[in-house]
Amino acid sequence: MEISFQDITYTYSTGTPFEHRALQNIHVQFNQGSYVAVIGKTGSGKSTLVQLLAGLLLPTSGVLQVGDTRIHSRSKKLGEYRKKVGVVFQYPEHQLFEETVAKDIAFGPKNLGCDVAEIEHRVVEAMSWVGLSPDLRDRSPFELSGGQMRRVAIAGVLAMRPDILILDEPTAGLDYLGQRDLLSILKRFHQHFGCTVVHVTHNMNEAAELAEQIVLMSDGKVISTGKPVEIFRNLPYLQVSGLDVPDVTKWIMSLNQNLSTPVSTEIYELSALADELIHRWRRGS
Amino acid sequence: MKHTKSLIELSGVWFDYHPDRQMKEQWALQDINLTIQSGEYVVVMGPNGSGKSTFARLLNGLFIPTEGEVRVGDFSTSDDLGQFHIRRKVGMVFQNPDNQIVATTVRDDVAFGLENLGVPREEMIPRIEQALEVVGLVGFENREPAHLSGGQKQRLAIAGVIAMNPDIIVFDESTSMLDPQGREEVRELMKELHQQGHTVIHITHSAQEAFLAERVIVIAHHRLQLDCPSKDLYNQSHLLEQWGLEVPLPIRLRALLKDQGLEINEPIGNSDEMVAQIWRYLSKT
Amino acid sequence: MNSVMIGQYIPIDSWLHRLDPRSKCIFVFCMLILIFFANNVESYALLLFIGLAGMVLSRISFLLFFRSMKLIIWMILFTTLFHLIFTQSGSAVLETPVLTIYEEGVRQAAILSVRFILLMTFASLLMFTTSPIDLTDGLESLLSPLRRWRFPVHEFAMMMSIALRFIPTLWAETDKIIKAQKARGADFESGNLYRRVMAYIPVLIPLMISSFRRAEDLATAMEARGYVGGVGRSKLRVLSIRRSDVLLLVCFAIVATALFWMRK
Repeated sequence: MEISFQDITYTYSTGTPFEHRALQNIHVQFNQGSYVAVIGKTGSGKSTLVQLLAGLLLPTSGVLQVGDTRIHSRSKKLGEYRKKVGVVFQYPEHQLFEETVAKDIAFGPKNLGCDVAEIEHRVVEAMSWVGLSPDLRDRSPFELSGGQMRRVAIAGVLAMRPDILILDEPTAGLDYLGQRDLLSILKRFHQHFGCTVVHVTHNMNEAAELAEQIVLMSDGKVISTGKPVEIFRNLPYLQVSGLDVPDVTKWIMSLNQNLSTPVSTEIYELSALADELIHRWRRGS
Repeated sequence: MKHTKSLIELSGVWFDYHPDRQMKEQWALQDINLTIQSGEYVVVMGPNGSGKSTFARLLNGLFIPTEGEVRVGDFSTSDDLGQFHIRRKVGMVFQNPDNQIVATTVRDDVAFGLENLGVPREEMIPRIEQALEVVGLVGFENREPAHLSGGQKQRLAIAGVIAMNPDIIVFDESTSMLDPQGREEVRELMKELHQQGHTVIHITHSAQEAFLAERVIVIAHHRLQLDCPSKDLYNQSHLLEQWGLEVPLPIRLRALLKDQGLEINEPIGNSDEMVAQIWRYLSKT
Repeated sequence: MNSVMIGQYIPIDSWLHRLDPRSKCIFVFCMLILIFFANNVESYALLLFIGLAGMVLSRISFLLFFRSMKLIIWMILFTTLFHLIFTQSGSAVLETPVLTIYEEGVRQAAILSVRFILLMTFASLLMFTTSPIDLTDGLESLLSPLRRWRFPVHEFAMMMSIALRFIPTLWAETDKIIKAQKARGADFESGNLYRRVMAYIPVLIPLMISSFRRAEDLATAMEARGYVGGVGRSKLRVLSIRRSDVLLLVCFAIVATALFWMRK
């Protein structure tokens, strides 16, 4: 399903002293099955953008076209549409409520109207996706560690097998290992099911490593969109938006200050950088 | 030379929430021995669930050691009178910015701690003003906490602590729930407080933050694993991986290069030194 | 949430805003009693005049007072109707084949309506011009004599103030959880009443759990900042009776005397 935001504006609390325009004339497109990262400072409109995409808010003006569905200011009955979209909110473990891990993961599939066998199948599958051991299924989610609770919550969304998966800062508050694990789970899930992923993040390393397309937002507007290289090449834009370049890029840039033939800043993975350096070293000696 | 007595002293400290129900090898903290001098800036690093937050709470008597003793100045946290004095000496800033603000306005919240100490009103007013000035929240006195950003909320919490004139300020993962901007604000403030002569103890799971301090303590698997000056950490940082902590990028790069035959053995104390080494190897032709 | 909530504090500056919350509380409380004490047209005219003067002094738009009246409009209509139909004394004012309306019924209906309006006016004046924290402080101070009978006045005030502090936080949290469960396919809009109530369980449980967690965190933070209860605490906020407060109470005394004198 192709996603296209057509001249979308969103205003909170219209007609009150608290009126606030969160999004202004947004035009942006995501390809079916791509991994999109939305970056920008707090308050840049990232969260509003994905809540519109999730069908949780309606645009004040403009149209959001998702496949055959058109969403506009007077759209009704978005329940069916929402079933196609999964959302992992910030700190998703705060929405767990069931007595057992398995029941909580089953909540989404049950709402989709899956039958008992299908629900069971999806629960087992989702638990294995997120790396939860099967013997945790009858435990209360509230007895688990923070990292495990996060996995249960994410499994609950993955079990819905969404066509569009929205992730709002999924790694917030996790430690380094927890972050690495989660990102690789999400990457594999995306590759396996081919769903469109829209990943909101402050972390430029995450964006560079995972995304095929990056949307840079500032002050309720889309400042720029394109491949990671195209975004991170444009330092002034980033700095105006209060953002930074990925660590690898930063490091390559400081190395390049001393090199006559600079290393490409299109490298975002450390192993690729190592390969490039080894290559140069062998050629040199 | 004048003999300086250490400010904080943990000797043979063991702790668990339910010591009677757990095997001693599984206690939350095991056999911690260390001293911290007045005016130090220490980072305590560890993965989630390692016991580092428990450690923080032992420092001001929120938790009392099951075995061993924690002494702050001339007092022990194990006796009631000691606790009373220690609470004044050791200020603490917590993780969740929302859950540590008590009052409905900025000014009233800074006042809260002073009111608890029974500070007379005439003395309270200048101290509140001063604390707000240090954290840069002058002009926000009548603001409601709900209308502050995450970084501002944490700065408010810090103001509440420094108004009480503590010698030691413990930051218990105070940066982990903030966006990059808020994190930067709080880090800057820590540095400033240290320069003003406070003893700063910063608990974190971020390896990047470890290099901001003078001394790094690693707590993993419920035990103290490493205690060294932060400039020495860089060279030992390959160790961090085994405790589930992030290894700095240049050290990871060095390991990758070594796998492919390029061995850099010179000690590296920071990112720039790694850049210089790589450059040396690449231009050795 | 778009409009100003009924009874919400309106943060502007006026003579009424600057008054000590205690004198406002006492004044309004006594006025509420006087409203039931008055029993003739002149007294009500006087009370209405005072209410009107309060509105002007508060510098708050009449529209907001009018809006808070909407809350009691049904009560007024109901009691009016009740008296018109069922009160059967005095001479008949209107005779129709189905219903006869008596003079006393009209009188009672009018009195009750005016009483309701007056009650709402004075209550709104207090709520609109006194910030929740001032109100809490005022109540704590007024209730402090109850300490002698072991009533936990300080704890009560602290609880109220913490509740006020966390309302916006919990409100935002509720909104977030509702959205999260909606995104998981929860349906809050269809089905019968029972189903709709049950649909909120996935919202209420996380909300309760997070409130407990917040309470625990807050208790730890308060302890770390040296809180050991009300004993030995000083206070930043001091309430001071000023000339205008005395003036208010003098006004009240005059009004009360006048009402006694007018009472028939």
